[in-house]
Amino acid sequence: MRRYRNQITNYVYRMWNDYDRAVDIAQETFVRVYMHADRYQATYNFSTYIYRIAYNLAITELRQRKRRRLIPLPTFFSDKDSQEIEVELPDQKQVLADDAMIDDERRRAVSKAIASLPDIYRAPLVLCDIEEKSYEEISEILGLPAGTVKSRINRARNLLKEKLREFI
Amino acid sequence: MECTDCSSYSDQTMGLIALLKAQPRVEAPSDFDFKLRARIARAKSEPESTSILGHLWAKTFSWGQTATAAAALGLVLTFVTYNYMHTDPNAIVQGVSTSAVASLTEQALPAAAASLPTEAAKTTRVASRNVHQPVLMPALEKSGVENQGNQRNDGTWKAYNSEKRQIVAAPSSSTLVGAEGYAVKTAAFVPSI
Repeated sequence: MRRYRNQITNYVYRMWNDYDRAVDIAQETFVRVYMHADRYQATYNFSTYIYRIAYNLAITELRQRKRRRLIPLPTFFSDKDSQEIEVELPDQKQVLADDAMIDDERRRAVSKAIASLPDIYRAPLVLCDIEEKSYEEISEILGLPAGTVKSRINRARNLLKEKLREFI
Repeated sequence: MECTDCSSYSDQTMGLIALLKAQPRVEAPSDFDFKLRARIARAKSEPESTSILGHLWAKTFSWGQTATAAAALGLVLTFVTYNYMHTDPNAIVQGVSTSAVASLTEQALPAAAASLPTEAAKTTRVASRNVHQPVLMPALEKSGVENQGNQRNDGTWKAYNSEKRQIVAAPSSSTLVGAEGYAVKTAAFVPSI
């Protein structure tokens, strides 16, 4: 459990962009693993198993949150998919010339950009580029073919490039 | 020689990946283990079935869906109640008017049914099931049926019992209830009696 608690917390945090909720889902993940340990099959890695449970819980929570959430104002002015909320990036000229501030702004912008991705693109991107999982592992965690995983990661990167052009 | 666009695309991708990997990793809080143990203990103490049902209820319950279902149920109940209140129970059998059945019962049913063709006798039999007995009994008595048809000199009725498939003798007092059924069946199956 200690080996995975930080990994799972970080993964769910990147999916949710809400630390308290991420900790709650990570704990629920471990409760599920503990209570249903007999369901684990040794055909794939324990890491994959635990990530898959975390992913399912996170997706379920995200769907419930979407069902309950209020409509954000930007969606009234956008004809794109409602999940793709435009990120207000800070104007570089206005950013203070303090490195710490710049880093902080960049981190926030990246977090918001990741959080604004549609769920189907966010999960494989986080697993690949942040959690550094292989395509095979991601394929097992998400229950998708490897080709689908690759195409979704590519699509997610292209979306992020558009949003984070000024930081790349 | 590399393509300029491909090179630019590759550089952007590498820059993005570097940016993503540079993101700081969050860590679990210090009381994570403590809270997790408490949560596991609580989950253990709860019954399994209740927990599953509770989770299912929490996941699927929605006030909007509940309100819609309640409205639909209310509409259906209103429609059914309205139909029930405004439907004539004597007009359930289509094609047979209640006046026709009443006119039949005014006459001596055994004699009338005996003279009917088979199809008409069947219709009368079907219709007779939907006519209340208290209405028919005085009609039979009034029509003087006791002196006609199947009444015997010893005060009993001869009637065909469809369950036993034979003609039985029954006291006149007891055969009055459901007499129209006896009479019609007698007419349909043993017209000579």
